[in-house]
Amino acid sequence: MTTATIIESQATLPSLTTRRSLVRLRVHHLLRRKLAVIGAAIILLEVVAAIFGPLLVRYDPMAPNFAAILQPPSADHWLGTDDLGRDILSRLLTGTRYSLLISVTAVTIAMIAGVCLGIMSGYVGGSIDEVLMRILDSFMALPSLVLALAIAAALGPGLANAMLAIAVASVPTYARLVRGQTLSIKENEYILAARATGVGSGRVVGRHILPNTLGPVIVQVSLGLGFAIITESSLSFIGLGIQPPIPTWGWMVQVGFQFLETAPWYVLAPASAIFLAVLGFNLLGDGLRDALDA
Amino acid sequence: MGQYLLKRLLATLPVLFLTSIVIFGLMRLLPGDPVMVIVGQTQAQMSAETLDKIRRENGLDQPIVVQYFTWLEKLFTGDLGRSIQSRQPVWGMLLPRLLPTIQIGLMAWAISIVIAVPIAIISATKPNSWQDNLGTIGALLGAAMPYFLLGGGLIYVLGLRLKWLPASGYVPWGDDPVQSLRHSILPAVTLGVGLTAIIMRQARSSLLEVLRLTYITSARAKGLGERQVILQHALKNAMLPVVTILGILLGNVMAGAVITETIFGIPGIGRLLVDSIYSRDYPVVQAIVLMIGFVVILSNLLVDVIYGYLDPRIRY
Repeated sequence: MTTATIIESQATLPSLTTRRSLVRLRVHHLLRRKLAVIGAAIILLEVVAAIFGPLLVRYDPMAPNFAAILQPPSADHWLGTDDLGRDILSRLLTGTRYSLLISVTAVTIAMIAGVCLGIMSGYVGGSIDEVLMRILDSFMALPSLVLALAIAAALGPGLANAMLAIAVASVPTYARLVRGQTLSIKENEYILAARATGVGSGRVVGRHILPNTLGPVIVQVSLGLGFAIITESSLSFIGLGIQPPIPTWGWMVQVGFQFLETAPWYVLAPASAIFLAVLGFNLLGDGLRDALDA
Repeated sequence: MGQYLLKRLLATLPVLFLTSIVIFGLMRLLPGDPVMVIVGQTQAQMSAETLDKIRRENGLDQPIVVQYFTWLEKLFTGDLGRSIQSRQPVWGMLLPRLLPTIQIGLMAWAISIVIAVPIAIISATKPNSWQDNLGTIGALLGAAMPYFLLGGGLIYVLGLRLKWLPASGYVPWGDDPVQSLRHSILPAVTLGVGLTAIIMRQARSSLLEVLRLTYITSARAKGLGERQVILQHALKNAMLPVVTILGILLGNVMAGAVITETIFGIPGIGRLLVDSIYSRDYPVVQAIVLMIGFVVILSNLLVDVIYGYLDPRIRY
């Protein structure tokens, strides 16, 4: 074992056992927060609905039924029917899958890109940091929803473009967050010691900096998923998301608004689903932040 | 102060410049030949010579860098280009749309401050009480509330069922101030609830922090009443972070305007942006996005300046 490896292994504190205990402690802190548990339960329910919902629905979410147009909620149609007689609950459950798919994919892309850019900017510093931060500042000058709208408008409507638009609009937040973390972590003595003993930059970043930035990133992922759901719905509401006949929450709201006076349930069901999803992610995000700070 | 302002202005210039590049670049992401977007459905009848002529007239035969600097040069002279759809100057289209957006945005801001600050005071002065818990839960719900749900609910209940307020549309202030106000209340409340939640949370935590400081203890020790301690001593200092949030929230107001103006059929900037996206009128989309970016950057600058006035300890 070389001196560098010995010093590095000593520097990789806390040890694996301690780390597991820390994780358990954080989870314990999280579970003590009732609102965070409620948030996690809402998300779990949405995930179950997204996975199994389309298998359990009694009606085809795409097939029109002109004998049952705009029917109010009943025993047959728990959330009523839409303007083409389709069961709103079936469409809502199918839409859950798409809304979560777009949001999770977009946030994953944004997180990976943001973490890479943030670490590079914070760790390398100098002119690379300066240039990257000024570019990110220019992106952050635009409200995220407006930026996502502009990107989606340029790329055109569709599933992949909506994901990309949300991801690009979210990248600066992750990059800024991770850069700040990296700037602070890289000055710690164990990092300086590792570098002084010849540990390569890749290893320093991979073993020491990256794991220590993950806490705030996880919090941001939870809050970012709420933002992604709202943005995806807004894009679909404006007609820049997934195109019909695939049901998305935002598109259902958009069409539902045309029938607000005669069939308020048409808007109420998907808008409430968006609200619950965002609330769930916000509650969990807040709880995670408090648990990590505790 | 003057020197600081000049420094901040100079630091803002590169961001403004880069933002203009980002927006110009985004609009050039358009798949296919931009000329086809300009001529739209009629291109089938057009000869290659005519298409070339249109390309030359719009400077699209130039390299992208030349196109950008030509666009920037025009921007400095107040020329935002012409709408593809109406062929009107974009600037002339934007001006009449600004008033509804500004009016509703300011009302939303005012509503949110009027609601959020008193709730924050009650929450912070009675931490962990039922009032505090109610305020916190209200803020959590407000922050997660999509414009569709609140706007839809308000239109249905207050506009369509009770008929207390108009469900949609806009009346300019100059035509009939009362009707203008009545038409603006529902969209302003829809836009304001999310802002209220954010301001309330910020003001509460800021006030809680200030109330722990020693000068508050000494104010109480002097025998000042609680009302005087809060309103005259604590609130002013606690409002500093709220000012920052108000500046940051300007972006939220602009973004929210896109959805609320669509829901309530208000002829503002947000609605124009959506209409222009539908009709693929990219010079208008580009101009609106650019304007929003500039407003956000300048509002951040303004917040920094206001800070100096609010807190004399801050020296530039």
